[in-house]
Amino acid sequence: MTIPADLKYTKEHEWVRIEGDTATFGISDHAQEALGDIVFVELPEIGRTVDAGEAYAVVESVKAVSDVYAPVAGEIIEVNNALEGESELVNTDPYGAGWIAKVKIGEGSAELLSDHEYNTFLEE
Amino acid sequence: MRFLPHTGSDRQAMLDSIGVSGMHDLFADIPSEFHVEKGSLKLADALSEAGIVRKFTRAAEKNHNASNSRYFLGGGTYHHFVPAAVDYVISRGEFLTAYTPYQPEISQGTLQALFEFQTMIARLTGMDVSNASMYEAATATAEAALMARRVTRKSRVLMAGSVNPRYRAVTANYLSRLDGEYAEVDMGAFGTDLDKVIAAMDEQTACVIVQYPDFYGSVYDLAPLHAACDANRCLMVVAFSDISAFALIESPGAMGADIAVGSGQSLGIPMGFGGPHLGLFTCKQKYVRQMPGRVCGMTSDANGKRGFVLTLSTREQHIRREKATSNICSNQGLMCTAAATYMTLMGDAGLATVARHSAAALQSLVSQLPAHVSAAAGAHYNETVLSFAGYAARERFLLATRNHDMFAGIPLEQIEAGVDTRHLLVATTEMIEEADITDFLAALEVSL
Repeated sequence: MTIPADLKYTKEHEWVRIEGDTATFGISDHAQEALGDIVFVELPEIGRTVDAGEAYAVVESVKAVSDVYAPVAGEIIEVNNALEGESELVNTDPYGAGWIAKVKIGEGSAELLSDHEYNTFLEE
Repeated sequence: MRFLPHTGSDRQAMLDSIGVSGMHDLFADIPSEFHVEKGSLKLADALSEAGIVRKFTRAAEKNHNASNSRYFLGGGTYHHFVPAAVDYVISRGEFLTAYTPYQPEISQGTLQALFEFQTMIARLTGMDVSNASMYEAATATAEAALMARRVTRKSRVLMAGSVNPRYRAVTANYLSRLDGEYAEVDMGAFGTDLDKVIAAMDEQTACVIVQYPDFYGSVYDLAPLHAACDANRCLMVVAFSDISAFALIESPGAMGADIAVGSGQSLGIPMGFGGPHLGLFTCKQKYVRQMPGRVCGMTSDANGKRGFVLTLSTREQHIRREKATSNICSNQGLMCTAAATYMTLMGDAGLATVARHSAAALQSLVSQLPAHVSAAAGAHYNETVLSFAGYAARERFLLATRNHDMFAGIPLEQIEAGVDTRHLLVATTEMIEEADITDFLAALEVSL
């Protein structure tokens, strides 16, 4: 299981990559492994404003359906349309091709963990 | 063995607990003249079974019902012909269950019937997908409002006043427990001016609900409404009462409906004093994951053979818990099978014939109306409102028709509170023959 050092994480097992005023969201390697084969990702609408901690997407696996929460607040500016046909990208490349959405960062953030902190959190 | 849940001392303990001395005290609120004491009924001697059948058959023959009279009542339930084969098919042991089967390995026949039902309903309504049914049209309409709120993430629901009052009442009731505005648009008496609905729409509106043909049977172009809905990012929900219409006139899907809901009772299901009905729920493919209810899908098994299963269950209560799209977790499986059987028997041509006859009968009736009775303006499918000079004139007509084995229409105020008491909601189906129309028109003379 990988936990890249250049990302931040939440206790809900999302990751966020912050670049300038843009943030990219996805779910962690641990999350995809726990969920099993992802069969559908319900993507948010472009232009929608989400609060930190608000459910912005839904990930459906063969085992369960889970809400995905926004690590930071913002306006959705891009979604990963590739997931509509290939939701398994979330399983095969959770930190790369399996990203879910990009936001223009707004006010507010969930508690963000470093890779070390997230690793410790997982071990607890 | 008799089932005796409570002993005498159990009962006494319960009576003591609530502070009354005997069973009799529990009925103290009912006036004593309505109390029947044991042995006080002077009943005749028991009859033989044959005697009872004879007695009640004679009594039942005095009943006037749809099958031994001429029947012009609609308002949400329609007297279409049901081929005998429908009842035969759904009475077979393989199909006779009200439940949706969970286990595909033992239920392929039922699941295939449901899948075919969905396919046929989607084609008839012109929509992308159909679920495997709701209970009836009113709750289907309410569910459509809830679904539109989920899809748009907006809360205001706008309802045209020309939607069946019962669909409106049930929807209002569902929404009364939720945040967000519910508003009805006054269309005036049998009004068809959709600009009133468009004017009432705003950016907060999740959906607009119209009925087509509307409660008064009017048919009109929904394209302007659809354009206005798109401009407001609001869904157009189209409700309907008699789905046979869409074998003849443009379907809700062709008019741009995002969600189309209504009754499937016209498809081989007897009126049965109002139930069981069949609710239909259809929508555009892109909204399928927000749709309530059971959905049947076609797939292949491990050996590559075709099979049918319940699908998209992750929307539903038993998986998604409190975040499910709906509380509905059952459907009208047997009524779906009846509708699927009916549609299969009738085929495209048969359904179109039913629709043409239904519409032609109304056309014939309206075109021959005397000057003192008027029909609602505009195009109609198989239902319209006739207006009399006043209440007394209408009642004279209704009495005359009753004496000629005819149910001539529904006094509108019986369904829609507050309207003038001189209107009659009149529906025709393929069961109405030209002679029935002649008799109907003859009876109108007394209403002059």
